[in-house]
Amino acid sequence: MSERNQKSSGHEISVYLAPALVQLFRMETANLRIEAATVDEAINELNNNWPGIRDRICEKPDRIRKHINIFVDGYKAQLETNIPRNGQLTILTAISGG
Amino acid sequence: MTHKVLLLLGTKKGAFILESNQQRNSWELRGPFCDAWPINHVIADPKTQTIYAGGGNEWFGPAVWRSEDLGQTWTHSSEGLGYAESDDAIKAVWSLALKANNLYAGVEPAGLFRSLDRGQSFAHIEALRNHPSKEHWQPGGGGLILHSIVLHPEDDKKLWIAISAAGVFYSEDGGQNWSPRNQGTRADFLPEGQNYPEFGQCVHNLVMAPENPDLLYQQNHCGMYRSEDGGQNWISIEEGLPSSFGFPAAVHPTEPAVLYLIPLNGDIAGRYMPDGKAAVWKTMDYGKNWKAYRAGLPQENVFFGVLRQAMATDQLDPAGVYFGSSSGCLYGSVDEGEEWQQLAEHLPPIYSVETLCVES
Repeated sequence: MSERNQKSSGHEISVYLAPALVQLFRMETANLRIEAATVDEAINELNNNWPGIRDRICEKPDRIRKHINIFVDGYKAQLETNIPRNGQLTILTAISGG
Repeated sequence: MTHKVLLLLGTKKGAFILESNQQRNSWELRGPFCDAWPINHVIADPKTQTIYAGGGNEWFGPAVWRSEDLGQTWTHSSEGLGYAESDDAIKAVWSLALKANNLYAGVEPAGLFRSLDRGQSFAHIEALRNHPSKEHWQPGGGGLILHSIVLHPEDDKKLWIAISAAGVFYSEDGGQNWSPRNQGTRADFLPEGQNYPEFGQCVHNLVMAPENPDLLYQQNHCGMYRSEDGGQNWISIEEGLPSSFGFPAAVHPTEPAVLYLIPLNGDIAGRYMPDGKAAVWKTMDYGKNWKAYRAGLPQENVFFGVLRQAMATDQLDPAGVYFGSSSGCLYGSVDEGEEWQQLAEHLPPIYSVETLCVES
């Protein structure tokens, strides 16, 4: 099992959020430190601090929105992807719109 | 006494607000709001003056935005706006309607939600999507959308909705059971002999006359109609109009016989103003006779359309009438349609127009 797939929990990770999300939730910075072990946990932790942000990143039934791209340490990730200790979670807006 | 009048616009790139005093002779534009999301419908609660805006963003999905200070600041939520029972994701909120504590949201793909906490969370009214006709619902040009929500003025349990292209449905028990209300409306896109189905019609807009919940009007893809029995039967009122095709319909605030339409030149003819000349058509006798009103509207090379929620009246006397074009122009009349003036231009395509009279 590679390092990025190792299961861990409750450890600190870094998060970078797309500027549009920072603006939408009137956040002070795009760079955060939170505790999470998976992408799913990280989004929930973000939602605890900025209620509603999960609905902007994920759609129901529960999956990442079509035009949102999530990366863990530079690799495209899904909700179940593990995040290593001090890993980097990046949530970006994909190309879309008109 | 009315202190000021607000025009609430939903556009492809955000909500906008125009504000004037009760004379309505000078308008100030504010916006775009809602982070420039595509906003399909903006309404206001006249009692609390809370403004709600429904829309959907390609990246972030559907939401209902809310402002408690006439548009100065906004919050948004989509808590509960999701289908649990299928793989369909909700793309956008298309229409809003409010009565007392019930805030309804119609969405794409077609479904109906209700909020009892002023738009903070929503619950799916599942019976509509469980209707046996659902497997036959077909998307129109705008998608499979629930675009009209008409609430009974006295009975909170009674409501009508319209879906393109599924038709009009009615519930008298708060949405637990639904019945189609399409008898007499045509579906020209079906084979001969099947043109008057129980459901499947492409209704474009459904409105209720003031002071008379049995009196409904609908602009359909295939004709213009009136019902005098709450939608159980519909009769054509398109004779005298330049086209059977159009999108918006707006009722007069106090006169049930008065209705405003903006017919377009035809569904596969370009969908713009007939003969390239802008006109609002008005009846004063329930659709028996129609007259075009053009004074102040452009009469040369007019190739814009007007979308289904993009016309409204205000509550003043004489009533103001307003419409927004697909080319981003807003027009208004403060004398019930006799004369018009351009109130704004260079806006994004206008999806909806509603009004709010703020009392002093």
